[in-house]
Amino acid sequence: MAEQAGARRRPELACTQRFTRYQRDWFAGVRARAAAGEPVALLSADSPHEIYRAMDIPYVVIQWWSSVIAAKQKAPRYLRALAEAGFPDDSEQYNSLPFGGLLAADDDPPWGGLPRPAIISASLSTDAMRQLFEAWAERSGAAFYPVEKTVDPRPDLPERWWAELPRSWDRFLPAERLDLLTDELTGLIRVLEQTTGRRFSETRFAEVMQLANEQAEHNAAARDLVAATVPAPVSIAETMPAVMVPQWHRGSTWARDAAAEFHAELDQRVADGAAACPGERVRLMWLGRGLWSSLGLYQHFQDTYGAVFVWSMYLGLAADGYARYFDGRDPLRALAARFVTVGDELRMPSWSAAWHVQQARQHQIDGVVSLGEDDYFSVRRLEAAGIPVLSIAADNVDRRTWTEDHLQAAIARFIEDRALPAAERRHHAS
Amino acid sequence: MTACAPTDRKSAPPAATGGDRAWQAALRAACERPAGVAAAWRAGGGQVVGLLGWSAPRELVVAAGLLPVRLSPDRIARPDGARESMAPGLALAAGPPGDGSAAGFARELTPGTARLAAALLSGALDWIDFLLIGRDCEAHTRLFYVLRELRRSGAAPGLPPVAFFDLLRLPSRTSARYNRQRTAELSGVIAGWSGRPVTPAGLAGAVGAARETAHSFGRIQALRTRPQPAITGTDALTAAIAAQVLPVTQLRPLLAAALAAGAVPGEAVPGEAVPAARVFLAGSAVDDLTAYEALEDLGLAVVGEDHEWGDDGSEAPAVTRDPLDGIVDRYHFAHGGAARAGLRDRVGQTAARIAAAGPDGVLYLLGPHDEAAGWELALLLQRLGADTPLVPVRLRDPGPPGAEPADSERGDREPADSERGEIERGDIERGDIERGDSAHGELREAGRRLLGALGVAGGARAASRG
Repeated sequence: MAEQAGARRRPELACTQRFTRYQRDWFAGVRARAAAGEPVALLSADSPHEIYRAMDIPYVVIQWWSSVIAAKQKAPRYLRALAEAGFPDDSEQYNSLPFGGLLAADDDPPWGGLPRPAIISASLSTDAMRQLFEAWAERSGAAFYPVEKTVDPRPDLPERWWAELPRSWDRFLPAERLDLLTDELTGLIRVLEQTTGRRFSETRFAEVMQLANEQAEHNAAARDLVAATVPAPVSIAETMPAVMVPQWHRGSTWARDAAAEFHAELDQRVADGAAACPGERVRLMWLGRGLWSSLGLYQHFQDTYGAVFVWSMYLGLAADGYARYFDGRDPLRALAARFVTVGDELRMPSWSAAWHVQQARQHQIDGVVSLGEDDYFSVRRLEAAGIPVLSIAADNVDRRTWTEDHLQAAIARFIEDRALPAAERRHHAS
Repeated sequence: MTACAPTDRKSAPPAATGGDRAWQAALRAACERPAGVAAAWRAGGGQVVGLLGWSAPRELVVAAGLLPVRLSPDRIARPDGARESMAPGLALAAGPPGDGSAAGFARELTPGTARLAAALLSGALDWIDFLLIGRDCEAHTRLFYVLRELRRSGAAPGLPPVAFFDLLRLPSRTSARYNRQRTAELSGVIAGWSGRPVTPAGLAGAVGAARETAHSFGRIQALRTRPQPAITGTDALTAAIAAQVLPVTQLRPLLAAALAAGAVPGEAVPGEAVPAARVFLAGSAVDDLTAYEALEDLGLAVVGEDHEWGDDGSEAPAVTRDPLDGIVDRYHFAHGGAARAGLRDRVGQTAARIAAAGPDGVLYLLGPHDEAAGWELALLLQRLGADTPLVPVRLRDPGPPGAEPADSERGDREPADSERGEIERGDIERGDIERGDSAHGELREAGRRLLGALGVAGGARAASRG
């Protein structure tokens, strides 16, 4: 996601700025390759990027580009263009904004503009995905490659996905789901070979998968460091951008090295005794999408209450959601195992609630702020575990639903009334 | 409505077809009081599977000897027809009052699925023994997740057994293979519910019955689309909904009577004025008969629809060597709803259905929780061209389950004189009329706009009744 101009954050790490600069250079490179006639793909965040990376097909992640559009204040104009063309402007905005950009024919687009895609691919995870992307593909001249999204229909699910999936994915997940996605990806590779003229190298693909696993290992180590260190070496105002830029490049050497850099800088901060908030009193967890337009808001509570947001799903998922070891097994099936569960960790309450409680405990959380989440079961289990929760009904990207003042007041009350007493109990117990 | 409450599920009630238009009342009763049908079936020792969604494969349930009854979250009632209080379920759905941090699970659901969950928890749906959820849309997936977790966590031990049918809709071999695996698995679950195996012969029998019903609906559609329609849209929709409730032995004679009533060539629906215009309903689903009546009161004849509660007889399982193949294909390639469907496929099929029905115009319904329908509109407009006027109708949200009218506001008072005729005509619960009148304002307005676009004055039927 792209940072936006709201309450600005104070930098806590040096690496994040380097990652952001890399992103600019990389995007210029994608534009240059497109201008030279190479096919460019637009991929949803939950589609299997690793295949495109292995085939050296440049791709841009749709949700990241939408966040760039929003950061450049172009969203209203692009949504208007959708409406003028007869499409909804209130549906799937994080996916549809770039389509709106195409229809708007903006002569001053963000970052020089998104290259016209040759390929659009998305996982069919919501009701309108096929219609939206088929319409987009038709207007842009791109080919649309949908990826099916299956549901786990078992009446009883094992909960500890974060512990089991990395190595035991083929026993933990229903074979039917893995069979389907593996077959789909096999077909996709063949189509990409035929339409782009690129060759799929099994050796290169296995390397991409290894790099992605190594990246996840660095993220897990970084996450564990934040969880175990009091006061926390860094807040989510920093970890969100520091993790997400490398995630868009997952499976590349650069992304693996960036994750290592992030981990190493945290390590050094811990060794130096550097903290996001040296006077840390309260440790907080943020559930739901982040306030990308106002990352500094998270740091506000460090100054006022010694309260540090130490957990968000961004580093949490980067640590727990992606590693799939395949030693001797089919790496393509391992890739299927990586993507068949994307979203389940957050949308299936049997998984999300258990994970949130486990993560809260690991991070010594005193209070949870949940913004715009459908998380009844998480709230229930967290409260039952003695971890208070503040639920706020708002949409992170819709400024009509929240203001900094409103959030600051609500979170401040929550810290005073519930999180501080919980923190006091934790301090007494330790 | 005794016609919809037979005690012997093996035989059709002869009273259902007695009298000129008795079939109308019997179908309507089944449509509005599915609990009564279920109660009668259970009184005969049978078990009932509530189906949520068009994509829950009823043929598997029939093959297992169980009664499939499709559920409408807005039409949940006790077997005696009274609306059950859903207060206990609603309380859990809404969460403890004043505790913003622990608001109930309703926030995870749409108003419709929250209403269904509340009904399950409160006992208002205690006339079903099992629940089968089809993956029509992700709101259904979400409901399955919530019910599964409520049961697992021990928060709702009284929930009936629930199964989920993960139907994939991409028209590819990989999806077809997956759908077969899931269908076979589901057969096993349903066989476990019924205590008897689902056999090829049982499946073939269910396919045969589905094909026979589809044939009847094809003929009903032909009556409906005559130059002078011989059956109303309301009656056709009533029959289509009732067909998803009644056992086939009871449905068969009622459809035969409906067809016989409209079979006289050139004869219009008795008592109906010549329609001011013919309209086709496309887009989001509507299963409220009063919505159709609202349009017919304007003088519009609803000659077709492509939403998931209608049935033009075009979709039935093919007869295949392995009956499971025909059943899987029937759902895999169904027109269904817009959610999770493909743009070109859906719009092409909708345009073909519109052409076949020959309407003067189209009303395109945009349900408040049907995002996909909005994405089809532009292409459909392009496909239809200027010759077929299309009026979009944005339907209002009925609200969360807690917004259900209180009993005291709903049905206990005497109807006013101006309302009495409506109740007698349709034998509708008063609460439905209240909801219908208020909820269909946007539909009436769209109907008037369509009539205006066609240069026709509306209100013909209302005037003829008046």
